[in-house]
Amino acid sequence: MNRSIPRLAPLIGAVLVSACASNRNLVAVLPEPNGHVGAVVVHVGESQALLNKAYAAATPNARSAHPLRADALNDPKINRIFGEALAALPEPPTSQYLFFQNDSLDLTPESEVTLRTALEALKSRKAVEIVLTGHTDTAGADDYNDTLSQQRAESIKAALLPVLLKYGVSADAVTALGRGERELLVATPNNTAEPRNRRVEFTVK
Amino acid sequence: MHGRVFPIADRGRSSNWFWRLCLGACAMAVPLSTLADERIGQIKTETGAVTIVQAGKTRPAAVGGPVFRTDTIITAAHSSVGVTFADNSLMALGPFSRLSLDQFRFNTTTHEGAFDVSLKKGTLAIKSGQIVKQTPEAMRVRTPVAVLGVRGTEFVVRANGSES
Repeated sequence: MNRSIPRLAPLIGAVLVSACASNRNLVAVLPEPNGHVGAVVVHVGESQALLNKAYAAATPNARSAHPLRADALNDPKINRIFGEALAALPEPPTSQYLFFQNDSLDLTPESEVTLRTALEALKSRKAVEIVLTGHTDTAGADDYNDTLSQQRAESIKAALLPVLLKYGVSADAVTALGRGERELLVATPNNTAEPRNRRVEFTVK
Repeated sequence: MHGRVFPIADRGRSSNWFWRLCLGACAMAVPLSTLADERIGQIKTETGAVTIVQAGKTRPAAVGGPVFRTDTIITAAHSSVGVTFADNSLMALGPFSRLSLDQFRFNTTTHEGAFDVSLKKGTLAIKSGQIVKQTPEAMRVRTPVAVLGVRGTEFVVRANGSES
């Protein structure tokens, strides 16, 4: 039984293609490089379909009795239809954590190396943006940590600007943000001092 | 909406203290991301002929150039464009495509926000970012036929430009 379905699939596909316009509306969910598959809910009028498997697809058609007919796609078919768009997707942003010596603006020796490597990687990108995101540990109030994380990011921005300039990154391409204690690197209870959570995330996009 | 009440065309009047006060009050009352001219992304890749329309004015798209809220991005034949947004969302259009950026709100501290786009025609590839990670379905993609609630992360959409 299972084997007959794939054999029929091209036939069903051909019938669908001839019945609809060849450039019919289409939505498909793709697998991510890490194997994870996300989900998209497709609504057409009162109908809705949840696409949450690799290559799960729907062909929205408001005039059809089946406004969200399911479709099965594969890599070659996706590339034929979406190859140009997929090829134009920008490189995903990359992030590194920078740690500092005893509440100073001096990087730890390990983070010096991390930063140099991240800066070298800038050369492969045409249009570079840098985002510096400060993170705190859970010691102190949330509001205080929001401000503190922002200030840390601003300080690091000021300290790094001369270096970034040498790599062709101008000040207006560098943003400093603070996330407070929302993204802990090491899970801790509240009001816990943890040096590894006090860090600045260096994101290249 | 406040961006429309005090459109950026009124900037010239900001030498007047009254307008300064209004703009100041406006800036305090709403996050910057609701202003129509806020820069929300940057063009990272481009091939062929790509143009951007903002308030009836057309400009050519260029790698490194800004993308603003309420921009409409248009690609011609044999053309494509890729944009990285403030929340790390990635979007790319294939040829003969038209995408309007309808809404972009993003709190960089909490990652709360909303991101709505409309694919009028053509092909679109998306990797969703921090807005969706924080709040599933806070990104919506409209086509002439369907509305997509995005839970993450990689997906593709084609709109044939008509209702069927």
